Amino acid sequence: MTTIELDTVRKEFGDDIVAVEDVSLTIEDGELVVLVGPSGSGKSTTLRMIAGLEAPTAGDILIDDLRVNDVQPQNRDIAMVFQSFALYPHRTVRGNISFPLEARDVPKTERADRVEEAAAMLDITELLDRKPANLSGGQQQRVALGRALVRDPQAFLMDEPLANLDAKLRKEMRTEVVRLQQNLGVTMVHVTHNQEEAMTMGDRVAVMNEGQIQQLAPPKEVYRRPANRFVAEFIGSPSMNLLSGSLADGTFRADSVDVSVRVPDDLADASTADPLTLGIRPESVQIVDSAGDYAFEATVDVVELMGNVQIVHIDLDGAEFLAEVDPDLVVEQGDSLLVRLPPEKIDLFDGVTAESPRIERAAEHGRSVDGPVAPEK
Amino acid sequence: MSVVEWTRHRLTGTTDEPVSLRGAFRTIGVTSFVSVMLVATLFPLYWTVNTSFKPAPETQTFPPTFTPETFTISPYIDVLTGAGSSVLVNSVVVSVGATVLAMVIGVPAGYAYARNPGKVGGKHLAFWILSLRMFPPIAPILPLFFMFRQVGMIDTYPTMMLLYLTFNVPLVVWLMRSFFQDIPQAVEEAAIMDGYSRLEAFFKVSLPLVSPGVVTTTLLVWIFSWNEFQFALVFTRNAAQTYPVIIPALVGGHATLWNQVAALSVMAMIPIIIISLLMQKRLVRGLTLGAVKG
Repeated sequence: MTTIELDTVRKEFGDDIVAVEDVSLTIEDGELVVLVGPSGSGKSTTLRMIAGLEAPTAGDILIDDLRVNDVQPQNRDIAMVFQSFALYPHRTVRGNISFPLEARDVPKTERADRVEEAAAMLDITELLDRKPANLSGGQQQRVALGRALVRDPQAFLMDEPLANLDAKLRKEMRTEVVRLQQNLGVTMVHVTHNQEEAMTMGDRVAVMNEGQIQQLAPPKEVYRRPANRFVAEFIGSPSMNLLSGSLADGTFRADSVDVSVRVPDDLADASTADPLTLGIRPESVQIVDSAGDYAFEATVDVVELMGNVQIVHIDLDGAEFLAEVDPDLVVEQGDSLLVRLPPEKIDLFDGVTAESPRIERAAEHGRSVDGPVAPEK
Repeated sequence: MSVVEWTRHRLTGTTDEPVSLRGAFRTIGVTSFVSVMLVATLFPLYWTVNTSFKPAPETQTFPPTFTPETFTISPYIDVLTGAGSSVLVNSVVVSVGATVLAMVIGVPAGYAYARNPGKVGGKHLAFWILSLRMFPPIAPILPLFFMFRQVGMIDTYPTMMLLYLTFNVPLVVWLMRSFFQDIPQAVEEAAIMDGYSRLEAFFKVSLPLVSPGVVTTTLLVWIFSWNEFQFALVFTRNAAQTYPVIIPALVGGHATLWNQVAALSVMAMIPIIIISLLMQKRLVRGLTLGAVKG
């Protein structure tokens, strides 16, 4: 029913600030796409352009194949939930939820029914006669959601709606938002700076940085096959380990430390750049008993027990390298360990452009063609 | 705890703490100070009301009488049957008209400044508007007088309303600007996303939210227009003459009619006192709006 398409959309503020740089993105009907990135990456501006609250400097925004650049936000039939919830303090919860219905001249009895229905869906029926000031953060969040869904909009835009909630509530609401989105089958664009939120919520994740989409792919793909170093570092906690070095005869050798890894043939063939950066997720790093097979010796710097895993900080000649290991493994600071980097788990990035050589593979999976992809031949 | 609360606390003894000697002295000190201040501020008010109910000769007696020996309402009747009734009507028309005009112009301007900082009229227009409020009113009076006389607009209601805009609009713009700044833009944007136009969002969301500020500003503007003397003295003759001008006219001449001056003053005070009392709650909210974040 509702698709949202951005065609080389650009937003400049003033003469020298480019907030969004030629972003192209198609959001399918009923899909939940998460825009994730650090502050200033242009994700909120992108969302506000879809909403109509900001006008793009160049490019087209299409809703259901209809160009909406010149359509006022109130006529786009899109609901938005704000980070600050933006409830109307002078109206009760009932008044807040029925406000969008009043704008559409919905008859009074129907309005009352629909408010009750939305309130029941969000479990806030008993709060209907309260003012927003007398609600907790989580309750305010629900009211904001109620106000968005009561009018049955074409699409939902969520501008960091969970950022103001405490950690426990944030996880609960995360699940609830996904459940609502799936039950209603509505198209949703969710903006967050929290990579965990992006991974758990999105059908697809668009990782943004410096106004550009760095990678647009399902969460698993973004995690397993990051398109570039930025995505590799931004997605995943703790961050991916990175080592700079170069490739010779199918073997990667790190520059400053005595670490080498046999690179799988397909990856080695694709990686023609020099220098290169090797990336490996902490959970893929192995602690082994016997030397050989490219295992290297390293000293334990710090051990952090997280409960289900423990994170071992390894000192690689000054550079920090993390390994996520079984919590039952007995390791202490100062221990010497044999570390192995399994070849099938490694990634390589161009040391200069920071791009992954698996470009073609990424492009097949919806990687933005306007991102900084420059296949080197 | 405020001084008043503290004093009440002490006087009513709603505490389990033993009342220390130091505390007692402090109570006496605070109470005495407040009493002296109360007498100093309320005595002139009392004396005006007292005088307004005396016949003219009694206002001149020495020692003065603290309550009217011959109670009479004739000063009120004299004022109202003389020039008093028309000047009070004129004052109402001019002050209400000037206030409505100033609010109609100033509220949207304040909103525009709050939402587009630095964009409306460039960097300096906002401060220029404020500077109008700062210069002494006597400075532009003569040039303005000649301008208005040239177009035959001396002693008319519109003249007075326009003149008061000079001082009221800057006040409204700057007060409303800060009130609107306290309303998060997201709330307006939410209304727009909910299906309202920018103008509807302004009237349905932003304006109701600043209503305590609007009340306060209206009252300040109205009180200024109600009490203004210099412009009224120069620009009115008869038809648009307001009450502050007539009071000096009652002083001098054959005799100073202190009782009529007092009666007119009391009548001029009554609307301000009534409205301020009625609006007290909103007025205080308006004056402290934005001072403490909710």
